Amino acid sequence: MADPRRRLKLEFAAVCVAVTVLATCQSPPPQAVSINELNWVADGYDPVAALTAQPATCQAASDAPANAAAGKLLFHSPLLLGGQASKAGLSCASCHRNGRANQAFMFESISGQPGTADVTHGLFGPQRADEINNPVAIPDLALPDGQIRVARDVPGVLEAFLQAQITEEFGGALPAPVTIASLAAYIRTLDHSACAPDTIETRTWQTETGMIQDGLVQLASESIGSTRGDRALRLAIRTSLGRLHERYPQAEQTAIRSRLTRISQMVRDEVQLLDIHAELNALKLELEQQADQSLYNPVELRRALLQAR
Amino acid sequence: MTRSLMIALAMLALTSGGPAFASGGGGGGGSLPSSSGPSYDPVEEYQNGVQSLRDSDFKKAEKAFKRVVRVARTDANSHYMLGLAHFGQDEFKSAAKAFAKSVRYDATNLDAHAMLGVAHVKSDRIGKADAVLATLGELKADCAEACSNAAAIDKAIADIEAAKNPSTEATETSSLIPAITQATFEHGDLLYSDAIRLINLERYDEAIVELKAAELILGPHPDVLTYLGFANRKKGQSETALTYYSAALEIAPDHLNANEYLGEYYVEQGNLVSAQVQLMKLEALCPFGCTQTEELRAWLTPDAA
Repeated sequence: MADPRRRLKLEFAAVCVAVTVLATCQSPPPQAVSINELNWVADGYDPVAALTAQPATCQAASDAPANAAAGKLLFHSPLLLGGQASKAGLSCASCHRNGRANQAFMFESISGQPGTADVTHGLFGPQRADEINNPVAIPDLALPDGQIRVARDVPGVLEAFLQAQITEEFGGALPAPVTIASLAAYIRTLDHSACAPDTIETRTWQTETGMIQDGLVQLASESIGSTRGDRALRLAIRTSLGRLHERYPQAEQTAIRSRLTRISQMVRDEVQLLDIHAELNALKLELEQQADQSLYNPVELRRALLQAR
Repeated sequence: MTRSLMIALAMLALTSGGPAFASGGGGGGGSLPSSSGPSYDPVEEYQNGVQSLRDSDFKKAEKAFKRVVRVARTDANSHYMLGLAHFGQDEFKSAAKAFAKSVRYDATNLDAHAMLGVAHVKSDRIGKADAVLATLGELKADCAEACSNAAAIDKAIADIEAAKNPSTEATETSSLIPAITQATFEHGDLLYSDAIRLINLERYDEAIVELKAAELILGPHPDVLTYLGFANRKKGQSETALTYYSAALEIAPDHLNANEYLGEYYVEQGNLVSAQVQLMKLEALCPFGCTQTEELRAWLTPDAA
């Protein structure tokens, strides 16, 4: 029998319960392990490894580094996609961890073997829906096989591809040109020659705050140039803050969670960026102080997962 | 394997091994009670109740389904199940009461209509049974022969007529209860996922059939209830939609999709104040942003989308 936490996962992330056999979200803080990503880890794969490490960053230099940095943040934002994928909390990075592949990825009805996805399943959207159960292996975007699928060097081709992915495959709203440009800039940097591609790297709180910082820099830039682009970026920053929130669920981390919520509100309410930066800097100190007790620490995560069972 | 074959297998698992008890059902779903919800899981209770019905332990089934309807008060399917539990104990008045509620919350549940009529007959309330027959007659007239429910309506009428004219041979009451066959959670998941696909393709009638089949397996799950509401709303059945949304929110008040779609319903009804309340609730539920909030916001301020 499949892991019960996988059942009806489209909505569960939002609905935490008191007592449940279908518990896909867990009991309230401080003991909870309510990490959305956990829902996509296939049976037989170590969830601790999946949540505390990731394929190595393989990024070459970019012609537009600020755009590429913001693109990485957007790549992790579920709100960029539309429809059911977005509602389930899936982002580009859910399948392409750190721009790479995800061999542990499993989405009931969509995946076949772990690490595959049926991208023409009508659950995500009607435009590319077919009647065939045909999951395909998720490509590593840094490896040659992943790189050659779209002509990245031809101006506009990757952009058109990404736009179609969002609007047709996932039923999302048309992104702003700057959003697509940022995503494309990020994907163009993904290159196996820039790293030892078979290695992994540790995930830390800095992984998120680095992306948040990059998002704030982009927000300050005039190149953002549109309300829609600005909104997508703000939502990407907020969901990144939410991922940090998931990793600091302990009672003694209440102040961190409060600050994360406050920063999210500041981003939403378009408070002066200088004030947001100040809050973020204060947050970083707190995150560091509690890092060992956070769920970025594999020992803590394993203990919490065992406790949650 | 084609997707349609997978779904056919799931449906087969639901209905094989005896007369189908599917086809009816109202709001189902459940499993994820909110923090303000009960200290038990209505879906787990539902599963227990179904198992007890299978085991013909009707007293135990009654206890389980009573706990379910205490939370899922407007869930037609659970009231129907409670009716079956009473019926199995020859408690025909109580059964009729439960079946009547099932019909009230989902008038399309023809199995509930049939059992309501039979329960009235069994409790010597022929006039009430005739009233059910009259209702079914009206449904049949509205439906006409080409209607997909025509056969089911005929069967419901035939069941009640048969109860009114029992053969000389005594019939065990419990044998009148439709067979409930084994189906796994995986079947329910598959049906649910496929129903969402059908909704995306705007094939709402087919989606509703699959959602109701999923509901029979899974019990009152708010995800299932929410999409029953959504599919009905898209069909123009706004009151039915509201019933399902309300049922979902009874079980899981913080359910994001149910709150979003209820907000959309209010926008469609021109009730912008209530829609705004829903948006504020979603804002509070999603301190780090979520699609449901943004989608409802777009309904309220389409120019900003």
